[in-house]
Amino acid sequence: MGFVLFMIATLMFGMFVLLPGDPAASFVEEGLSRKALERQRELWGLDAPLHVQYLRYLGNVATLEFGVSFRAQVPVREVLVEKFLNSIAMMLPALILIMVGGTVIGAYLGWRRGTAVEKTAVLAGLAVESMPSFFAGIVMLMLFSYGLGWLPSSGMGPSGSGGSFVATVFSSDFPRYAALPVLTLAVRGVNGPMLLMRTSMIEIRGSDFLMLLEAKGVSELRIVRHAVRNAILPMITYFGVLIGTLFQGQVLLETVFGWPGIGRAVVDALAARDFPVLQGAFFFTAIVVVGMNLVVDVLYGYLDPRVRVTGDEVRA
Amino acid sequence: MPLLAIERLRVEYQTRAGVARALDDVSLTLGDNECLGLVGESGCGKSTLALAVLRVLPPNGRIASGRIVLDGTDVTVLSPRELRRLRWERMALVPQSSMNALDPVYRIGGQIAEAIRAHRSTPAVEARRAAGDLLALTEVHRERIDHYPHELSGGTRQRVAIAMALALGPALLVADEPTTGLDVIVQDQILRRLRELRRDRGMAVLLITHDMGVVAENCDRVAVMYSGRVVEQGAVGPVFAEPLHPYTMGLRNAFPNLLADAAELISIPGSPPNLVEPPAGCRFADRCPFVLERCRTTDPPLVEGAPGHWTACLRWREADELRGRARSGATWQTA
Amino acid sequence: MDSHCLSRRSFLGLAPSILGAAAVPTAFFESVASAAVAGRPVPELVLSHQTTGGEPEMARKLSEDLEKLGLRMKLRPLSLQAWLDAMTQRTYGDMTNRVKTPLPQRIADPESLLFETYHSSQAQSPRYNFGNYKQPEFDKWYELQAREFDPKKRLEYIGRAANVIGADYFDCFRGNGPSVLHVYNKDWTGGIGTAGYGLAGTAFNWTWPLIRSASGKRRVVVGQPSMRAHTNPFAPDGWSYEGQYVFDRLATLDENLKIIPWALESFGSKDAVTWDVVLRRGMKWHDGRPVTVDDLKWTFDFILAHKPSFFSPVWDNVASVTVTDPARQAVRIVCKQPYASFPAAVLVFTSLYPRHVIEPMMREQGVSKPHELRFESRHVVGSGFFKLKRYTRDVEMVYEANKDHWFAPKGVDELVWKVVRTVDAMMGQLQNREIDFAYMSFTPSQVKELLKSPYLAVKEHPTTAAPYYTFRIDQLPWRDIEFRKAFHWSVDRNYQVQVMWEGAGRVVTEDSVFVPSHPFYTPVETKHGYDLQRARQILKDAGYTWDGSGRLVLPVDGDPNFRKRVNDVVIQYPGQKNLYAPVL
Repeated sequence: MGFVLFMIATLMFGMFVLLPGDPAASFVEEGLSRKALERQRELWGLDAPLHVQYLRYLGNVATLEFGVSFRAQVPVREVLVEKFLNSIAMMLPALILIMVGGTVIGAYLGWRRGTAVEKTAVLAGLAVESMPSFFAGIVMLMLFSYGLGWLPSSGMGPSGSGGSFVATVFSSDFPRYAALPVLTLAVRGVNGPMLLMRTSMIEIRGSDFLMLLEAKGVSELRIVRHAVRNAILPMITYFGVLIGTLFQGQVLLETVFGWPGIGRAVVDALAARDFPVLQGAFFFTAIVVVGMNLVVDVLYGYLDPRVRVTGDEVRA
Repeated sequence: MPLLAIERLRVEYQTRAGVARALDDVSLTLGDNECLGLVGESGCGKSTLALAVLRVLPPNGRIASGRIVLDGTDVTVLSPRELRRLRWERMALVPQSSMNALDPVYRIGGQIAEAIRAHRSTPAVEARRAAGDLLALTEVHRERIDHYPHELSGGTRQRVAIAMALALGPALLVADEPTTGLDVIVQDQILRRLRELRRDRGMAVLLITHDMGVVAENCDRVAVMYSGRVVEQGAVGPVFAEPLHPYTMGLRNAFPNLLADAAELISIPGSPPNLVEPPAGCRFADRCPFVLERCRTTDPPLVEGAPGHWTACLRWREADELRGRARSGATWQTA
Repeated sequence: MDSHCLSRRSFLGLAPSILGAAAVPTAFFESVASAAVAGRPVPELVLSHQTTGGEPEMARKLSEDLEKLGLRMKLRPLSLQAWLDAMTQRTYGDMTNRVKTPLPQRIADPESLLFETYHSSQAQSPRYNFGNYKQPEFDKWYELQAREFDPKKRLEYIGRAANVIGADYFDCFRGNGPSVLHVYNKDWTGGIGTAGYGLAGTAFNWTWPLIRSASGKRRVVVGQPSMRAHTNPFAPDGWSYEGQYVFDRLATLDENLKIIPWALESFGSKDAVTWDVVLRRGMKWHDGRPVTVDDLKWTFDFILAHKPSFFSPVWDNVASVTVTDPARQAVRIVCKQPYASFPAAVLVFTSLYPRHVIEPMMREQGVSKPHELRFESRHVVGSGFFKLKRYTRDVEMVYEANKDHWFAPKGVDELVWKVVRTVDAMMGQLQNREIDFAYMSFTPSQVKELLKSPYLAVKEHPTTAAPYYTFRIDQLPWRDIEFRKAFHWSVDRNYQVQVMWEGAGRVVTEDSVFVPSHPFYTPVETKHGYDLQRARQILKDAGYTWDGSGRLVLPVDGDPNFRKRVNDVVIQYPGQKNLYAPVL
């Protein structure tokens, strides 16, 4: 895992070297002298030879300190933690809705395969998912915010009320502000896990053990529980992938709903060639993705006793 | 009144090729504490019979006609609710392959207890203790109660399946190939234990197997099935010693140790007919070395060739002579 | 050797030291311009243009018109970054579009508009004189105005300089627009906008301290598309000009963009290099402490000592700062060279900073450069009419009225700047009344849509921005003033205003760096318009011909007028003359 991260870090450095554009040029206002530009580059250490920059960078990676953001003038950690938290505040409820909703609906559709409800639901799911996210977002806005006026259109809270992340998220206003982006995400995202769960359920449905359960005179609800418990295993992998996107943010939705999340922060940083923030964000995302793979493996082992490795097993 | 009476049972599967009649006019009876062996090649419908008795046929299968009477109740017309009450209390199933028949992500103790708690309001702790007792009964270590199916050997899994079937003390145990795939020693141990349990508990067992030897050792009576029909049935001794149906004679050759003079192993060439469009007349005709012209046109009825010994062969009167010829491999090769 | 090769060499020389530019821009490898040769058809002309603001449409229109003159065009759309690179490295081909927008801080200062893009010292890549324009006549007037303290005379010199550019047919201006159209909630009245910044701007805006709500609201919410990512006034990306509400400027601009003293009672020059300023009395920092002459002196010293890059160019000229009269709170600044733009470039640029806050910060945070300081909200202590109440990065900035200020906001207790990223969202939130003002200029059709809401009104201000085409005046055919003149008559400025800006702009008939709404505007005598017939005649008179297929052919080598126009008369490139000899 360490090696994987080192390779990712090195690749990322190479990427930044190849990225056209001078950070200082986008930072210092056009019309200021060349001298100002050079001074800025010197301040940011961009005048050092490449190998020196690389070593400095590796040091940053090792200590998880990516220096000071060019654009925000504060340590990268401070910019990113805030943005990651904001993204999570939007993505986590959506993720829960997607996973729970997808599992429940998918299980139901799989169990009731071939009915009119199932066919309609599969079509509807595809239709909703094929809608671009910003379009879905704008439709939601037109409907519930600008149109009916039920929900506010943007931000994480009323304007002027801003405060700490905790205060914002736990304020009574937050659910109303989060409702539209979370719903948009969830409605679009639910199709994937729904179809997966449905397929998985259909596969499980023919299993002998379900037949035996029926023969045992167990209630249908309990049989469904057994089926779901088995069918849910592929969902874990899906969950891992989905949580990766959580840490990448949703640039388009964040823009449409004025949500100050990580996706927008990365795009802004890219536009400003804010290398420290980009390096921090990408590396952190890499850690999360690699870490999530580990979590998924562990979770899989927990949910599927067949892949669990125990001391017992080793002895046997 | 017998414990179980199957009367003119017809089971059909909806397949892509058409409707396949897996069981065609099958009638069987099974008395209390009796063991009936059901033998035949794979695909002859013996497993379908087991599923039909518990009414757990796959979605594409249905009972087309006939009755399955258990304790005087016709199982085929019960509502799901009534059926659910009857299952496992009065009849239980030892499934064909306990590898697939046990839920891989639940502990075996839980799966046994689940059967108990589905029918009785037994507290969880007690159900667990009962599960342990049942495991002990089938010679499985109590401590295995928290193991998952994949952690157990095939034999142990089969014992677990039997233990589970015994959970509620059913009157009828349907054992579908309970020892298939196990090595001979384990097979013997399990069957011995099953025999003892049957004796102790006074259960009736419907033992489905393709192994004539197993039937010979365990059963009182035997029914031989071919292509969805019972072609011969009767007490084990007469049926194996003096079979009246050429198919039974052929089967017997496949298990030389059944015969006192240890003849050569002879298999029946060919394969059973298509169940979607079965041939007219005797279904075994194409493979039968003693086939006559009328065999291909007349559907042979089940007749009582000897007291309690039934067969569905037009030439049953010549059985003694045919038996002699059937012992020779050459006879079967010419067919 | 053509200039293309020249720029390649300079680019390679630059590359190893620049991380950001270490990658070779793809545009570089393209053959951007083939050398024009006398007596031969004019080669295909390459126009690099941006992809925003209607530039592609304008480029197509221009391309069609030039084709009618027998010219072939190649259009090269570029992303912002590629376009910046192409300009600084002079790899944009023949022409590129640009917009002349005076820096907000320096709008009252003619220097920045004239010097960077026209002075001969800036004609070298990567400096900003992108056309490589070198005109001794212009340089002369430019330098004269820089030393001239009499406003009338200075204006005259600036006018002369502008006229030189006009007469040279350099930088073809396309119009003055689009107008600033700010839409706001009618409930608020009394706002005053400024040219170029409109009603809801963040710089030099008098709206916020003056507006009142008819319905008695005390909080105004302003949407803006983006926001500074920090609150450090010393950082080079200029939070300082938005922060003027918090940090009082020494001088500022009134609604007509005229310089007025602000944190000063007065300022004036004793002689060409000596400036006397007097601090306003009775000012207080947001933490209640009085603003003293010591703070003023310290502010100057601090900036001189650290020269945050944003300030450095103008401060290089300051020789000394002394308190001449503590009782009167008078300070004298002595410059090294006469510098007429001193009030605009220094006083308007400079805010008052609290010594008692900044010095401990430097110590506690252990930083040596002020741009590295971390400004939490509590550190943002100024003396201005708004206090920073809360700052949430990329979300909003909340200001609170400073009741103690001599210009305290009357109708507003709280000013919220809220980030609203997209035009759609901005329009939706205006209609929704989630925001009261939008710091975003809408197009006339958007305004029409917005005004369907009974709550909204629009206010129009002229812009200070002017888009233009600039070209490589150091290479053929652009070296020939007659060719440039013909080009000027081929640009449809009416199309720009009527079609691109939907009528919200002004058609120009002269090449003036200073648009009429700029304080230094003077008319330029050389006029032109859009007349392809006339353009053709100009070329014909100058010795250009057309070949069988209708392509424009350069005058022959032996044409003495052509030779004179191209080599001797207008533009001289000392030491580089040989470079162009092979052309003729």
